[in-house]
Amino acid sequence: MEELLLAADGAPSSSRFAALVAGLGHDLRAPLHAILGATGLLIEEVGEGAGHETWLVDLKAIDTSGRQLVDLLELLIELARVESGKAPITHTVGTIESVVEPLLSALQSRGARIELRREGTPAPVLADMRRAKVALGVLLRMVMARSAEPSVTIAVTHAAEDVSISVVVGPDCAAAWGLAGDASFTDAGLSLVRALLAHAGSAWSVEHAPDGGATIALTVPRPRGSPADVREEEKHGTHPGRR
Amino acid sequence: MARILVVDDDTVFGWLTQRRLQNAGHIVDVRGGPMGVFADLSKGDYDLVLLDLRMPALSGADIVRMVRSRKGITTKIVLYSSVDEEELAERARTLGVEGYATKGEMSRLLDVVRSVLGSNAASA
Repeated sequence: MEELLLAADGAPSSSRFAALVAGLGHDLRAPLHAILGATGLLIEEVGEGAGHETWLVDLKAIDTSGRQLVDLLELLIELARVESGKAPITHTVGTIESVVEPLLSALQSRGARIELRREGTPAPVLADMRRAKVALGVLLRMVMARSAEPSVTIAVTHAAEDVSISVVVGPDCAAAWGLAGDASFTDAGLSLVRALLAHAGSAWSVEHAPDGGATIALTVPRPRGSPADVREEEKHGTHPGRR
Repeated sequence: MARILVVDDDTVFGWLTQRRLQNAGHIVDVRGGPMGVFADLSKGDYDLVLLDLRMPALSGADIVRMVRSRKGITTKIVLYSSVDEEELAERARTLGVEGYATKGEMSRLLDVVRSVLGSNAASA
């Protein structure tokens, strides 16, 4: 901690704070991991006994909230790493499938029903793939946690200039997040997801549905030009389609 | 069933891990730091050591290097930490240990232990 404070000394206050948070990942996660570890253990042990249904519901509520807090923490740490310069944004050429598919598999293994639609011919994109995966993963888990039964509806559309990922948000969820009406949503997690996606190279838009729900569309540019141009884009993150 | 040594300065996580592994049928001892670890491992009684990466005085990485430099210790090593998963995977690869598990997904710990004990794979 002292090293972190000394290293950050002399930098502007916002950078100093970002540097501090960026270096505290392990220390912020550790107590939360202990809470989740203990909760998981109790769920297993209590789940085996009859008459403990209420405890099980309470423990699962702790587990759900703890996991949401872990997600918020990971977003904050990732943003702090980017903004402090500790782990700058690195754009590389990759596929959206390599981002989306492991996330959906993980959700399925946690009991979520997945509805995935694909359009167009799969083609590479240019983005900070790791940050895009972190942000999209949190977004999908947020949607799943808010749905009446654990489910995620997502569409991946490959177009000539870009690839879009559309995530369907139900009416209750859209209202809770402040997505209805205008674009000034109020949910902290959603704000952090959007900020990290912007860093990663993804544009963000919201389409409103007649039932009060919404679709969050993330658009990631495809690399343009010759292989040399692409390498230069990867190096400098200068793709013209990036926000 | 295997004999497992957990080395973790976080006492809460130490007993949590012990209980989790004992529930799965393993015989588990816990050490709250590096003191005595080499003596334990030299006896050859453990099939696997679950090693916290960040500990005061001697880190998990230091312990791995020291264990690997000693002939006769063949215990499999799994790194176990709350550091970023990508960093943990990279540490496991560079240190040449048999596996790694993030403390954030304790439910996956048993899979990693099973995988490492069941094979000589370079990672889990």
